[in-house]
Amino acid sequence: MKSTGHKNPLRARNVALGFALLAFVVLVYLVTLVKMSGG
Amino acid sequence: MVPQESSAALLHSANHGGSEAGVRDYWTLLKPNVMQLAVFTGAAGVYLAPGRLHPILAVTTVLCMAVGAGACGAINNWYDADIDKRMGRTQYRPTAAGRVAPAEALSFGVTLSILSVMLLGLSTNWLAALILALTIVFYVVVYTMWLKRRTCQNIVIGGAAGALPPVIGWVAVTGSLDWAPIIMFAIIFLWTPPHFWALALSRTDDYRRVGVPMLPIVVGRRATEKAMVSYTVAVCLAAMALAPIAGLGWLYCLAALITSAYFLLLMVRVLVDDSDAVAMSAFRFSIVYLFALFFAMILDRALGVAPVSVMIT
Repeated sequence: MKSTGHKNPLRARNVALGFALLAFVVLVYLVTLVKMSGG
Repeated sequence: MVPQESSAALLHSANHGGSEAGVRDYWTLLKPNVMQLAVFTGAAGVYLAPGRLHPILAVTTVLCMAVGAGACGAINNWYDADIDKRMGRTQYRPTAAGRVAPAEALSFGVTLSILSVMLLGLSTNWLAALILALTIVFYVVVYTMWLKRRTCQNIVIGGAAGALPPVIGWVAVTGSLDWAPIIMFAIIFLWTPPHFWALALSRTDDYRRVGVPMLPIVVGRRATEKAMVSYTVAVCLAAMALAPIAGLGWLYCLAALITSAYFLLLMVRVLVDDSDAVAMSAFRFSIVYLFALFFAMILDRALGVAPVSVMIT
């Protein structure tokens, strides 16, 4: 599709949501590792 | 073909915001300025508590407090959208301006609340998670939904929610309560009324228009200014009391003494001058004051300054 030059806020929001979800999963993973090692 | 329900939802979205919302709007929903306060005072609670958390758990604790505070902001944006759009200071908030649908702000806030409480409980302890959950419920139900539009004591009682982050931070590390986090709670709790009333003094028209009974509207400027001075004296005493109770040294004492004296001086000026400009300068300094106090606590502990109680004996 030809770009109109406008940013799509919905797309930006979904990308941000994806990154936030990824960060949350990584954080839970790190916390699990720390707890399993007795932290 | 678009199902009827979906097209109705699209139409609703177009009419009630949500379609134009960008990442920045969702960030604004979280009230980043209020989050800063929760992060800073909560981090001080974590740092000053006896014992050590693993750095990843400490960062997670502060993050949970930040997200919990942000969730409160998002839910507040949902509930107060009707009055926010009629006030100069808040009319550009994402829900008030119609860029984010109120229901979307509510679901965003509730989701973040659940995630932050669960993650804090799993990574530290469930007492800290319970206090975070109570903080969110207190801010949303007791302050936003119940007190804010009904009594001039709204921010006095509601201020308890904003004062809890250092307690949550402390409990996350130790698993129990102590006098030091209670005094830290008292400092923020007593600081909140003069801070908000200084702002309310120069925004009385806004609050009157939307029917929020802030103290200056209910009892008048003079009585509000006297109350501000009284609360400021109390917060200064609490700030000084923290030093022996939390085992802080001369660095904190000196910082607390100087900043408290200036804060009190500004409040007395508000009482004497009775002008919006002086009230706004007192409001601006009140933010600096709280950050300076908590920064001094952290710095004092980081530099290992000898506690005043040891110096006296």
